[in-house]
Amino acid sequence: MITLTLSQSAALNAYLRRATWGLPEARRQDLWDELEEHLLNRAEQLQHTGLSSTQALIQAIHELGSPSRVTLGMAKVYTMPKLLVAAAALALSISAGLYVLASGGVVLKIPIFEQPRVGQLCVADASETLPLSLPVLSRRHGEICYRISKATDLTSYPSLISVPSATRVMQALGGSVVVRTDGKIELRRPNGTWGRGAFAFNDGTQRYIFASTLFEAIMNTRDRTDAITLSGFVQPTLTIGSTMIQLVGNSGDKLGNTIYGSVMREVIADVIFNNSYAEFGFQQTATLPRVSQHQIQTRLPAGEVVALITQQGKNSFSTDFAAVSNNGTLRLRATAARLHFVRDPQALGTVVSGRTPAILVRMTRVPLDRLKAGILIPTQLTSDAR
Amino acid sequence: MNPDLLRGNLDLILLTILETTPLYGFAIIQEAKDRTNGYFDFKEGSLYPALHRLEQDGLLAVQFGEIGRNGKPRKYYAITERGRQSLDSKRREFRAFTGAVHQLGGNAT
Repeated sequence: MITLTLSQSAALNAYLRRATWGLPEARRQDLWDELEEHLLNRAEQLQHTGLSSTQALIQAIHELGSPSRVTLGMAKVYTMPKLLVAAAALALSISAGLYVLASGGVVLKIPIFEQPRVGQLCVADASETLPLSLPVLSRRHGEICYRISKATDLTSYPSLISVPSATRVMQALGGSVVVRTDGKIELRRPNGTWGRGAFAFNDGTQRYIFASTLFEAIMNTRDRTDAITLSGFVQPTLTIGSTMIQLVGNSGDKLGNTIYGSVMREVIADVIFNNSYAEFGFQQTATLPRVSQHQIQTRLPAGEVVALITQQGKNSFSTDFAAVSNNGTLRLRATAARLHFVRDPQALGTVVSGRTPAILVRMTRVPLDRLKAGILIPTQLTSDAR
Repeated sequence: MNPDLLRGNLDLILLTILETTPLYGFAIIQEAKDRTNGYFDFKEGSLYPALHRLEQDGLLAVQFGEIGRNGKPRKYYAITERGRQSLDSKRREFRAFTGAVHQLGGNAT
């Protein structure tokens, strides 16, 4: 019998758990033992080729392939109803992060620069636009330097990521970050370039870009075969194919607001317009002058992030999002005091009995190009502002 | 090789491998590679659902053998009488199909 280290055992168990998900208990144990035996045999064989025991196990797991292939194959054998097979497919996409870890995918922890250093922060070629709402210290040849003091208002200071960290992320995804001669930044991937002339900030030690620019680059230059999923709010994690990027910050909800806010256009495009080309506008409800607070009860676990969409005009929407609290409650803002929740985007335009239709969409652990699968109805079909 | 060809003939291949001797999953993959000089390289994750399906259909039967690397008895698959009949039938179908393809191509190989 082979003895595994704790981390090897964790990776093996994570894979087996997913590969045997949803099977009747007796069948599950049977398949678990069978796959475990297979993986240990193959790992031992690979060790003879010179791989370490950990490398060999990771390779063996990789060769056995996606656990979802095994699970869905088994679901068909044991004649699960079609609905259950579909549910299995969704659940498997939800736990994709586990597979990334188990299959030895890349896990990057990227620090986000949120607390400005006291001193100054300069940005090149910002002659036409002021990218930050901070006191200006100096302007020279198009370069603007902001005064950063202890009293700097953090709410007007978006999350930044250092260029070396952004480069690590882009390289892990097969791309690069280019600093142009004019001091601006481009993020490149095989499927395209994003952020031509994105602002680069300099605090005297290194360059930074908006964290949202990096995220938009990932979203807009992605390989359509790679599902992208988000998870976590305070420290959001992006899972892209076999790469997991954990954004590590320390300023509460701000990072989550940045990342989930920057994906909102994607949410509307997918949920309302089926990802077909459409011109539409949207506003974050929080920026509007008069909003109503809603407290909505769900059955979702704490930490999942949900968006609320209401329609304001023909192709105009307002949106808000929040993380589910410990008791399944969501606190979301809407322009209407009385809402009723619908699944069908076509129903958004019609106010019924004085209630504005609204759609709730789960944004976490649902592939971002299949967000329609995340539409949910809370425990109450309606909500009155509190 | 074209994975569609492998997938479309998976039952025929598995029943053929198990025709003479019962084997466990990992050994089936090795046997397939060895007997075809690596031509049949299974997507391994699809093997186990196929084996379970053939077992459910009564074409294979399970026997437990010696203790494996995980400290549990290995699960061997053996062809059943019904499996042999199915194998004969699948072979005839396959020969008829490949024969027809040869005829289309003027017996060119």
